[in-house]
Amino acid sequence: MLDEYATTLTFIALGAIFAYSFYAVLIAGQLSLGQAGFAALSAFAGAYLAPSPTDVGDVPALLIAVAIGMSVGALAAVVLGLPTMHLRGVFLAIATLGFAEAVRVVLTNQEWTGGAQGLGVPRVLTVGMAWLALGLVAYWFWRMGRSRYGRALEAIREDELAARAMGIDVGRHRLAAFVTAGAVAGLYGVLYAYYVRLIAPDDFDFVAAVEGLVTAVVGGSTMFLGPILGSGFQTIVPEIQRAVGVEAGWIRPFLASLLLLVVILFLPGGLASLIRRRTRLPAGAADDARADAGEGPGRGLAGRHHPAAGEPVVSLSGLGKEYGGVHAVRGVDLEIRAGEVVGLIGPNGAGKTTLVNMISGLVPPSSGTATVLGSTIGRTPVHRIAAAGVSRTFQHSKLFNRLSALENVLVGAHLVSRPTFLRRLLWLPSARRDERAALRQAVRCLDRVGLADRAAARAEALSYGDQRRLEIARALASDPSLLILDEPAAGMNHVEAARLSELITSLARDGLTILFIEHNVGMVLQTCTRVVVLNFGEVIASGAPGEIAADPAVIEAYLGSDEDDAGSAGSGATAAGRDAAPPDAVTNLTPGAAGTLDTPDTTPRNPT
Amino acid sequence: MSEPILTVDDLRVSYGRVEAVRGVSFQAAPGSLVTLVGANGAGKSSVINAVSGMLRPAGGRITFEGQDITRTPAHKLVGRGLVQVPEGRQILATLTIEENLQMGAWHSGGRGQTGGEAAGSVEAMYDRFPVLAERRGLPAGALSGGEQQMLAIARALVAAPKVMLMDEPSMGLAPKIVDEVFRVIEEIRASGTTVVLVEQNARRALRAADHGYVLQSGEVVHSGPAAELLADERIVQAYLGVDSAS
Amino acid sequence: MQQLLNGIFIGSIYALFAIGFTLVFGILDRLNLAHPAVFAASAFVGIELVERGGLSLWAALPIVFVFGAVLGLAIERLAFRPLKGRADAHFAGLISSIALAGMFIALLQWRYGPDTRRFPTGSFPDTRFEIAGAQVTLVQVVILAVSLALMVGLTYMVTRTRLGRGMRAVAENPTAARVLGVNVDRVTAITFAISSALGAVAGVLFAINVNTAQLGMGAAIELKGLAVIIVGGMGSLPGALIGGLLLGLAEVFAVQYIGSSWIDVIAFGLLFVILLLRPQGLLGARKVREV
Repeated sequence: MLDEYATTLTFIALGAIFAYSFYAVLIAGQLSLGQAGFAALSAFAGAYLAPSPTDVGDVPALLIAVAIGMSVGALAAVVLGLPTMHLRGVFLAIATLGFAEAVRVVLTNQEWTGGAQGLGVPRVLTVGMAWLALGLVAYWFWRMGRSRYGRALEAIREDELAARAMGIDVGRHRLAAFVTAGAVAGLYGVLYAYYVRLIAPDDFDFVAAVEGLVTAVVGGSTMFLGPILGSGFQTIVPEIQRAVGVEAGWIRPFLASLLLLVVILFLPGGLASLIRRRTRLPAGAADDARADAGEGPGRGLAGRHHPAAGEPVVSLSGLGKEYGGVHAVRGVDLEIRAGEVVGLIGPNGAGKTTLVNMISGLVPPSSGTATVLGSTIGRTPVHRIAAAGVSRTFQHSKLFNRLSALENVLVGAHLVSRPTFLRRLLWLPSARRDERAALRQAVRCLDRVGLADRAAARAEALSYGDQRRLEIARALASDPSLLILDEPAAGMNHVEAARLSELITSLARDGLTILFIEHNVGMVLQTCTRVVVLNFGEVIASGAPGEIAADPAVIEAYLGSDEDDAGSAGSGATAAGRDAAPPDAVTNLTPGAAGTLDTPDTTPRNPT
Repeated sequence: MSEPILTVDDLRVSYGRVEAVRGVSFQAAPGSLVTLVGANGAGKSSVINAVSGMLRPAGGRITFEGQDITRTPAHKLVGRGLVQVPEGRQILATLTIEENLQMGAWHSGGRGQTGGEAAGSVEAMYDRFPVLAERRGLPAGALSGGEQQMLAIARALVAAPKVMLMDEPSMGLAPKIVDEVFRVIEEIRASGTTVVLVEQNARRALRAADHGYVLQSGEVVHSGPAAELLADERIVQAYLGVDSAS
Repeated sequence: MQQLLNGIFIGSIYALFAIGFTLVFGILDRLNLAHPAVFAASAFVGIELVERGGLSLWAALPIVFVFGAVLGLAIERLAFRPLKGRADAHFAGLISSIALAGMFIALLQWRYGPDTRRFPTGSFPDTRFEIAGAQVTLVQVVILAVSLALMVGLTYMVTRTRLGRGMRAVAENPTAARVLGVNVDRVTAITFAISSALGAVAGVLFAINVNTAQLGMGAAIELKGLAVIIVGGMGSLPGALIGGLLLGLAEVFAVQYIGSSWIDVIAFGLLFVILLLRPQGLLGARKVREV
């Protein structure tokens, strides 16, 4: 029975292993076609260098060949990856494809490979061995999925910039994924060689690479079972056609391609999206988290040293940023000390976001100097600034959309949690403990923003207000010293905004230094210890909320000049007959009166 | 008052589950300047984008010259004279200034070449904005922020608009340039074109406008003759005192 | 001299093919991997037009051009438009165009069988010229003339005409283009049509040049086309022209001095050097990523 299908089953396993080598990088959002090259190098190196099965026995020979092949594949990936990892999207795909083609041509022109005729290899692989190997590879990716490393890769795929801001060293993670792909492709190459009896460089050509990619994408690149499903699909469709009597020739490839088109158009997540992905909270995690509430970082998490109250956290001097002749920010001097809650306000286009992008290391300044928690801005990569204790949210939510709320926050905890992947492979209890510690931290952060009951929801499925709060939870998870919030209340209703205001106040009570941009001036005046007003990229006012509210220049920055022609602010000459009365207006702006978040009296609403 | 050239009735716009505009109504008489003011996030831009056909409204009705255009896409409206100057200028930085202006005549440009009438119109823009004429062959990205705004306005004028929708034309510009932008807006209005102006700079906008609508949280909270609104303290409150973005 | 001319002839076909590739990439930021299938399909259709339709080689070209344009519209409609707005559109577009290419090739197999096909004997005029001691056939001269004419025409269209401005506007900023009244979907579809029409003509010219058409001929040139557009700079039309000619010449000289078995490494050697030294390509502009 099994014998009848042994060939098909073996090819499903081989195809799936090859597809895993694509999955290994797709999961990190990389598109590579170099796996064919890795597989070719490994297949020939393994078959050529390993001792003959007649000398050492089938299994030892295969194992030695596998070890050689995987090493060669991984090594080739390092060599290819170092110069190409900065490439994105199709550029990486084409560069790696170029590598694979070059490998193929070189191998064809070597004598020891048998050239185009190929190299004879004894058949050693059985269907059982193929599935055992597939099982091991699948196990690897299964255990990787919920590890800190696996989540970091997914985060990079979903939003590279946000991943950097969470302290993930994107370059290293990408290279690691690429090397994994190389090793798995190497495994495939060797197993393939020891099954088909005769290998030729053309077995690893462009068509083979595309097939591997198609298998991985059709199966689904966000779930570890995807490659197996994809390979099953790709192998079984022709078999079924044969079984039901579809003639060979053009109909089979046509139907296979048509099915492929249908799958890719109508099943965006691949076949694996048919399987529901569960995100469950381990029992008790929520209770643990509540029990921990109020304590510092929990057990199993790396501790952080926070600056003492009053120590400088951010010091900017003469900081400026120019985009193609436009000065988005110029000459900003600003010092933020530990324990302060600084509000950054100003009209649209005033340069607020550019300023915080510089402080968080995303945008290098064009002039001036800045030190943030001991790191010099402009020379330090984003993930190092994050590691120094800066955490932020973004003006337009940059969540990891296809991950659950909980996973988003777990990625946020990247910097304070410990790597668990390798220990997870061995089921070590310490890995479990560390994962639980990270989970507790994440649940605590979710709880703090009031999202604990939405932990399992995909980030993209949350309401806008919830997404904003999830971003804050994610930023809190790294136990930061400086929290930067970019318009956290945008899109929130009054109740939500009021709760947010409370949250910020309570975070400040815990000693967190906070810098936040907000258009809701009332909220800023109420929440902050100091307010900085930006206009045209310059600081036009800075001081306690009360002073800012009474500053005519601020009113003018928001509502516009009260003069007809002169551009200078605050010269006081009002156009005759216009009674906009800034001084009176300002009295409404004292935090006590107008800074509340109550809805205004809107009875005179006048719909036309 | 004559029949309004543009009427918006109970307009609703949603992004996913979030309702950004919840039943906004306003109208513009031919040749008038109407302004929608409000703080960031009040839903002003969503209203403008729904009117210009860039966004599909979730509900309500928009009529232009008496015809329902609620679901008409943008590319059909430009030719009919409903033209938008988008937020953030959206000039085509890699195209030359001249090409940007020619793009304004896209709908009337004939087959494969610039129509004579449109070219004349481009020339007219050079007379009106000499700073553009001097640099017509340069990529538009080389212009300063204020000049880019002028280019965006000129480009819209080439399309011979009956109604011009302007979204935050003063954004990020220095006060002197803002003065200039408003002078141009008043000129456009004086030439008979109806202007719907969305502005955060409420005082300037209201001083230029005939009629104003104050938006907050996706709803019109005050409206009336611009001069009256200008004197109304509650506007300051709508901007600064309360949550602007719910 | 002979080698130089041969390099230019084959290089102009590469360039024509690559320009179609890069045109779509420039507008949509997507690779259309069904492009090589169009290349192959039009070679077969061209041969059939000459063989059964009794047309001369040159009369077949405009028909093939139209045929390619129709395929381009189908590709846009079936493989790319349905993916608009999807988070994984980049990967999905590759796969959907590969799937469509598979369907095209399967249909070719149905219509023409799996074997190599040739133009009927006597289709080629045997006029020959001698240029500086090198032998040149009339066919080769016409290949070069047609490729160059199409490339010049395309460049004129893109840089000087209203449609070309519209294409560039959509490429740079689809939102701005829409605000200006451009029907972005239509411009995108037209871009696909033009791209595929050029790929189709390249296919026939290639078939004429070597007097064969095979089902796998698209896959062979696909890799070279990819190398050419990277070398020239993604989305750059003159870049694709220069890259194509460069590759054609490099290959011809490689055959002469290194040996024909290494010919395929040339394209990728070139590709690699460019990616390492100048990732935006010879004539490509570096795209600025926004925060």
